Formats: sequence, structure tokens, C-alpha cells
Amino acid sequence: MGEWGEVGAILLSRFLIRRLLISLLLVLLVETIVFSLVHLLPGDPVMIILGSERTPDPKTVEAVRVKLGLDQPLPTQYVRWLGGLFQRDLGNSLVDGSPVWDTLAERLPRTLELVTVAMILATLIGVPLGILAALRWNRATDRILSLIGAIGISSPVYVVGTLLVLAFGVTWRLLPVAGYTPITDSWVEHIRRLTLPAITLALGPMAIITRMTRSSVLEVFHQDYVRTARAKGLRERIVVTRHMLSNALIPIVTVIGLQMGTLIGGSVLVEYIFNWPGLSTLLVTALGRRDYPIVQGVILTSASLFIVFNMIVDMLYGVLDPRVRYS
Amino acid sequence: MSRKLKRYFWLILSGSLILLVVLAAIFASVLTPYDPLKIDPLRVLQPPSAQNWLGTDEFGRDVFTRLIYGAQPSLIVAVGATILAMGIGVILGVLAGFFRGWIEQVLMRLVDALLCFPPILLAMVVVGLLGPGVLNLVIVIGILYSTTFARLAYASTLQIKAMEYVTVAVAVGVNNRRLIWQHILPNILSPLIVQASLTAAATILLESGLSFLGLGVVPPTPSWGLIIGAARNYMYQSPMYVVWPSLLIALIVLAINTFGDTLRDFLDPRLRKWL
Repeated sequence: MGEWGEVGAILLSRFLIRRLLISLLLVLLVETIVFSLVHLLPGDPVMIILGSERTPDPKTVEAVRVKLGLDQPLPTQYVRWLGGLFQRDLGNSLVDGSPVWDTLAERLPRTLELVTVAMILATLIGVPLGILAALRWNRATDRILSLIGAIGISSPVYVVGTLLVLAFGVTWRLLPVAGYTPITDSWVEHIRRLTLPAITLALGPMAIITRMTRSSVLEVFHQDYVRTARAKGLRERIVVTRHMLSNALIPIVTVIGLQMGTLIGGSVLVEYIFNWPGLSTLLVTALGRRDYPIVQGVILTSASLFIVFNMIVDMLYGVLDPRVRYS
Repeated sequence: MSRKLKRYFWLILSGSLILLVVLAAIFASVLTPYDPLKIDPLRVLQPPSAQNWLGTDEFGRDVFTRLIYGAQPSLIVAVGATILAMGIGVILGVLAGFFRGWIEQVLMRLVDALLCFPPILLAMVVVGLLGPGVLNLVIVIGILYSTTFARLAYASTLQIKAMEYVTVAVAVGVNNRRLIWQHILPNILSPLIVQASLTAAATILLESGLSFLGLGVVPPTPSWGLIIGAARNYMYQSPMYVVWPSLLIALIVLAINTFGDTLRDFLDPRLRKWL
């Protein structure tokens, strides 16, 4: 045991370090893409700062250009921008001059809160439903759950959100339809305003988690060790939780992690519908004003989050399934 | 036998639904006497009636008419972007899988990096900066979704390339072009076709989402996402106005997804057992 435990630990740590390095490389690649994207697309930030109505004085234009460092060649700008990242400097907003880093630091926790709450909801409901569907395989319960799941996967978040607003906000007037209250002001109001967006965001992943749980429980259903456990006379509850679930867990964890990444994208429309002041509403307004540094910052943050989530999933995978470490 | 029939049933049902929407979009001008753009200030936000089956919108336009005309941009973007995505993805994936080496490294790492962005965010930025419109949507969505095809084509190419008949073909001196066209491509086609139908559904979701945000199809051209976005503002006066396009879009995406899933069951017998 001792010797094998050590070998395992070394393999695991090598696996984790390699995974970390790959993620860092990806972040760098993503940063490069974001930088080139924003700089190659048409539109001049200087004109945005000066306002595009009048033809501005060429001297002023040149002065602003120098001030923003836009007179430098692109590679210099790139290196400077990359260096700024390490000093928490993502530039300043073109519209109000506030540091992009601070704005992101204020917005990010709200998006993360929404995404996390939605994911917890989706998992807490999706996993039990999936187990239920698997245990009632091919019977009415399973059929109905499959149908609901198919509808859940096919309904766009903004359709679900709009219909929920119509039902709970407009027709029954049970919950506020939009807005945000800081938790420090009133936690009851905070949760009331979080409820609808979180449910909206949770429905899609809930359907996918249910589906995944169902198929991976079915996968282990006919395995020999499950039959053995039953033959030993173990109670059904123990067979399901101890023998089946622990083995069905790997694909479920994977899908939950991947959905975290997808949810960052899904939160765009949900935040917009419910006027939730997170990263996405920031992006929509920044795009409207052509506020490039903010756009750049939001995309960078979302992509990095996505990479971090994927990395965590891969690492969990390595921890849960020893076979992965060897590959 | 009855099981097989049931499979056919879902394939035919979802297939005919898709066909129905496509035909409705093509023959929109025959199906409805109304103009989707003509404003009638006297008949604003009317409830459903014999003349206006689904009522009228905030400019007095017939909602049913707007919905069937609205299918046009959605379908054009769906078909265009899916074909573009498949084209780019298959070229990248097959090249990477066939030639390996540095080509593989460069192409597949690029794909990995593109996969790090939530598609809607990247699409928002590019469309937001380039400007909205159908052509821009096709290009942006096509490039974004080419990643899935690239991965799929790459994995299948690796698999096929390791097969004995490919080794034999190489041994008898078949050249690369012939290898790819005659031996690799026909054999990786079926998973790609399934992926194409799932991508079409995802594309409709993405396009309508962007239009909903005002970053897609340009008004007054009708589009499902735009109609829902507009109808949201009149939920108090005319709640059903927002319900119709919502149901329609969920239904068509459900049909395409079902079509893709059942198609996969046919093409890949290994997956059939649990369905």
C-alpha cells in the first residue's frame, strides 16, 4: 500500500502540474486572440473618446493617441498590455476613465454568484431526477422526464426567462421581474431578485445533468459488482448509493464542470433579461459605447474562468479516476 | 419491430416539422395576405381574431405573418453557418489528423483556444464591432462552431488512418489526395452529418439570442429573436404576443435536436440500447 500510494501521489502531482501548465498556455493564447481581435477590428478608440460628431483637431487626436499609447507599434502595445495584466492593470474605460480592473472586480462576483447558485440548483434537482429516471427505466416516469428534459434543452434561456417573467412577475406578481439589491442592504430582497434569474439559468444544465445521470446509472446498472451486491442481500438503497452512484459519478462530475463553463455564456442573456449587473450587462453596454478596454477585459475574464473551470474538471477527473493519470 | 417503427415515427415527425417550417418560410408570401413590414397604427396590439390568427404587434403588423417571414433569416443563418462550420472544421480536422506533426499542433491548439470562449460572447463582440446583419452572423457563427467539427473530424481521421485498409492503400502507393477523398472522408461522414443537425439547432439558438439582444438581424426585418425582444415590452398589454414566438422557437429547436438524436441512433447502433 505504502509504496503504491507514493507512486500514485507522484503520478497525480505530475498530472496536476502538466494540466496547470496547459491551462496557463491556453490563457496566454486566449489573451493574444482577444488583443488581436480588438485591435484588428475597425473603429478608432480615439474618435470614441473625442466624440464622433465633429471633425476634431488633428493635434488633439495625436495627443490622445500618444496618451493612450496607441502611437506605438502593435507588438509594443501587446507587450505593454500583457505586462499590465500582472500589475492588475487592464487599462481605463474610454467613456468614464475608471480602471477596468476595478469595474471587473465589482461585477465578477455577481456573475459568479448567479452561475454558482444556478449550478447548485441544477445539480440538486438534476442528479436525483436522473437516478429516478434510471430506476424507472422505460416506464412512464422515465418517459415524462425524458420529454421534459428534451424541452428544457431545446428552450433558449431568453425564452424561458421571458416566460417566467410573464408568469411570476406579470400575471401572478409574486416576484420582482428585474434588478439587483446588494446583500448588505437586504438579504431577503437579494434572494427574491436572484430567484428568477437563477431558475432560468438552471433549467438547461438541469436537463443535461438529468440525462447524463440517467445514462451513467444505466451504464453501471448491469455490471457484475452491482448484481453481486444485490445477491449478497444488500438493501436497494445501499446498492444504489454505494455501488452504483460512486461509479456513475465520474461522467456526472464532468458534465457539471463543463456546464459551469457553458453557464458563463448562458448568463449573458439571463443577466440582460433580469437586468442583473454582472459581467454580461457590462459587456452589452460597453459594446454599445464601443468601450474597447472594457470589452477586452470582460472577454478575457470569461475565457479565463472557462479555462479554470475546465482545469478543475480535469483535475477532479484525475483524482476520481486513477486511470486518467497514466495517460 | 415495434421499436423500429417508433424510431421511424420520431424521425418522420421531427423531419416533417422541420420541412413544414422550411416550406412556410419559402412560401411565406403565398401563405399570408399581409405585408410583414407594413405599419397600421389603427390596429395595434389586437388580440387573435379571424383576420389576425395570432393578433397584431405594436405597429399593427400581423404576428402570424411576421413569424413565418421571421423564419427566413433564422434558417438562412442556420444553413449557411452550419455549412461554413462543417467546411472549415472538416478541412482543419482532416488535415491535422492526416498529416500530424506541426500541422496538427498548430491547428488543434488554435481550436482549443477558440473553444475557451463562450460562443455567444465572442459572437457578440465581433458582431457588435463589425455591425449586425445576416452575412456577418453566418461568418461569425460558422467560424465559432467549426471547432466542434474540427475535433470530430480530427478524432475520426486518426481512427480511420489506423485501420488496416488505409495501411494497405498506403502500401500499394495510393497518393494523399486520393487517400483523403476516397478512404477517409466517406468513412467519417456519418458522425459529421449528425453533428451538422445539432449545430443547426445551436445556430438557431445563437442567432435568435443575438437578435434578441439587438446584435443580430436588423429591424424591421422580422426574426424570431427580434420579435421576442420587442414583444417583451408589451407583456402587460398583450401577454400572448410574446408566448407565440417563444413556443415556436422552442418547438423548432426541439424538432431539430430530436431529428439529430434519432439520426445518430440509426447511424451508430452502439448507442441504441439505452434509448
